[in-house]
Amino acid sequence: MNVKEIVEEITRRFQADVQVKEIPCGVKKIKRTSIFVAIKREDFRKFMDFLFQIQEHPHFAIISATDLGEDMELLYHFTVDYGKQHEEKTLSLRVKLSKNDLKIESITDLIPGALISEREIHEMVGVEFIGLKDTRHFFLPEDWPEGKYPWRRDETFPDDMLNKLYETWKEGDGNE
Amino acid sequence: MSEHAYSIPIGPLHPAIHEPITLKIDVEGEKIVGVDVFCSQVHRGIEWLGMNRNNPIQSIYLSERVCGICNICHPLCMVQAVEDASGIYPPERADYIRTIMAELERIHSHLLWAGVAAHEIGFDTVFHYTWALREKVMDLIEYLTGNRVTKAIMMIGGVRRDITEEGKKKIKEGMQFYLEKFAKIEDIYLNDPTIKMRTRDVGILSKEDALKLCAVGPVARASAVPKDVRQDFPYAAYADYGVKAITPDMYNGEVHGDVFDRIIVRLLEVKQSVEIINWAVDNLPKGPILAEKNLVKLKMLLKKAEGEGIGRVEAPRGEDIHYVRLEKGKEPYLSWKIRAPTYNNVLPWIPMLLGGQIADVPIVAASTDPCMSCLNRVTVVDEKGRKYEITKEYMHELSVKKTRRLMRNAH
Repeated sequence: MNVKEIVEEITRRFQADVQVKEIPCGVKKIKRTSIFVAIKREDFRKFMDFLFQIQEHPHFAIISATDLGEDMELLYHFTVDYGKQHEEKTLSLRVKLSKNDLKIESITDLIPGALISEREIHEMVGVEFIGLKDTRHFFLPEDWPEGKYPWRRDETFPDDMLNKLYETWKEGDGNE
Repeated sequence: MSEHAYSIPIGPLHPAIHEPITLKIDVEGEKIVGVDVFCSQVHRGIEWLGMNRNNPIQSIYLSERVCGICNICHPLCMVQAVEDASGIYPPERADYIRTIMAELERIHSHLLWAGVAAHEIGFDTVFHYTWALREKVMDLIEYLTGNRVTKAIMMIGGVRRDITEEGKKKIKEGMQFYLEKFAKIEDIYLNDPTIKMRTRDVGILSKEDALKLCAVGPVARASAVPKDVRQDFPYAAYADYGVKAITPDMYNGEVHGDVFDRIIVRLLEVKQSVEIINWAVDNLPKGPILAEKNLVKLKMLLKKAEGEGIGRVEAPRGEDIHYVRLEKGKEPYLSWKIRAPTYNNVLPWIPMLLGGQIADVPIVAASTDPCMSCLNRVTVVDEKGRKYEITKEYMHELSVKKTRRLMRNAH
C-alpha cells in the first residue's frame, strides 16, 4: 500500500486523526514519510489487525510515553514496507489513556518482540498491559518501591530519590 | 526445567559482552535448555535528563554519551527528530558530511566487533591485527572532528565542522588503505577453517524468529531479512546513493542465520561503507553546513517550536530510533525516547542460545554486537544450594579450549 491508500483505508475504517509528514533529504530531495495516527483505545486491537494486513510482519520499534497531566499518551512506533528501497514508512499509533484508568491490551501475543518495551512502560509509567504475562522489572532494580514512576510528571515521581547518588556512595563506609 | 538442569546466572557484569546485562541460563550438562535476560544495572536516566534538565543543544552532547561507539548515530538520530519537530532542516552539504561521518563510524565499529569476536574464540593475533587496522579510521575521525571518541560534530540543522579539500584527500587515502587490506581481512575471517568450525551453525536465528522478535541491523540481515534503514527510509545522503541491504546470500548464495553469517554481513558492510564514503566525497555539494549559525538564535527558535518528530538512523548495530516532542515555551523536551538497536536484539539471544553450549555463550552473545558494558563474575548455583563462581576469564578459557579441541580433531 502506498501512503495515500494507507491514509484512506485508516479514515474509512476508524475514527482516527491522521497526520502525514514528508521530509525531503539530500540533493535528490527524496522524501521520507512518517504517519501519525490517533485512535481510540477501543479500536486498538482492530488497528493492530489492520497493521498486519499492510505487511505480514509489521516491524515494532518502541512505545514512547508522554505525560500530559490528566492523561498519559502512548505512542506505538511501527515501521511498515521495510526491505523495499525508499518505500518504508513509520507509522506511529497514538492512544490516550486517562490516568485513572491506565490500561491497554498487550500486543505481545501478536508481536513477541514488544515484550521489553511493554515491561519498560509498565515500570516507568505504570501502564497495565492486559494479557502481559511477564511484568517483572527490566530496567529498574528488583527492589524498586511500588507506585513510583520515574517518567511521570506528577506526585508519583520519586522526588525523594533524586540527587541521592552521593549518599548512596557514602552508605556503609562508616563516615556518615 | 528438569531435575538435571542447573541454573547459571551470567552477569550482571558480562559474559564476553563487555557490558552489564544478566543472563540466567539453565543447562543440562553442557546443553543450554533455558534462557532469561535482565538489564537494569546501568539505567542512567538519560531521557529523563533531556526531559527535565537540558536544553535541546545540550542534549546533543548528552546523546553522544549514550554509547561510546555509536556516538555519531545517536546524536544524528536525535537532531533529525528535533529537525523534524521544529522544521529547521539541514543544508545539502551537511547531509553529505553526516553520511561520511556515519560510515566512518560503521567501519570502526565493525572492525572493533570483528576483533572482539576473534578474541572470544581465542584468536588474539587476529584480534590485534584487526584493531591495528582500525587505528587508521580512528586517526581519520580524529583529523576530521578533533576527537577519536565523542566527536561533537552534529548540530540541529547541520554539522559543526566542514570537510576541506585536504580533508577530502586524506579520506580518499584512508579508503584506499581499506580497499587494499580488505582481501586479507576477508581471507582471515571467511576462509579460515577454525573460525568456520566455531561459528558455522552456531547461534542460529531463523528468519521467522528475526521477524517476530523485531531483530534489527546485521543480526536481522544475517537471517535474510533485507532490512536496512539506509535502504528503506531516506535520510542524510543515503537516498541519493541508493544503498542495498546486505544479506549473506550475496556472498555465497546461502543463508544459515548463524554467527558466521553475521561475520559475512559485517565484513561486506565495511566494503560497502568504503564505497559510500568515496562516492560522498566525490559528490560533496557546495554550500553552507548549518541552517542557523547563531546558536542563541537557534536556541530561541527551538524554544518557540512545538511539535513532534522521529529520527531514524542505521547504526552499526542496527536501527536506532529517537522520538522527540517539543513544547512551546519550554526548553527541555516534553518527551524523549531513545531506542538503541540492542534493545531489540536482546530477545533474539533466547532462540540463539537454546540448544547451544556454555562455551558458545561468549561468541553468540558477541555476535549480536551488544551495546551495554562488563561481567567479571558468574555464580553457578546447583540444586543443593552450593555456590561456586565462574570468572569471565574461566569462561573465556572454556571458549578458547573449545577452539583448540576442534582444531585438534580436524587434523
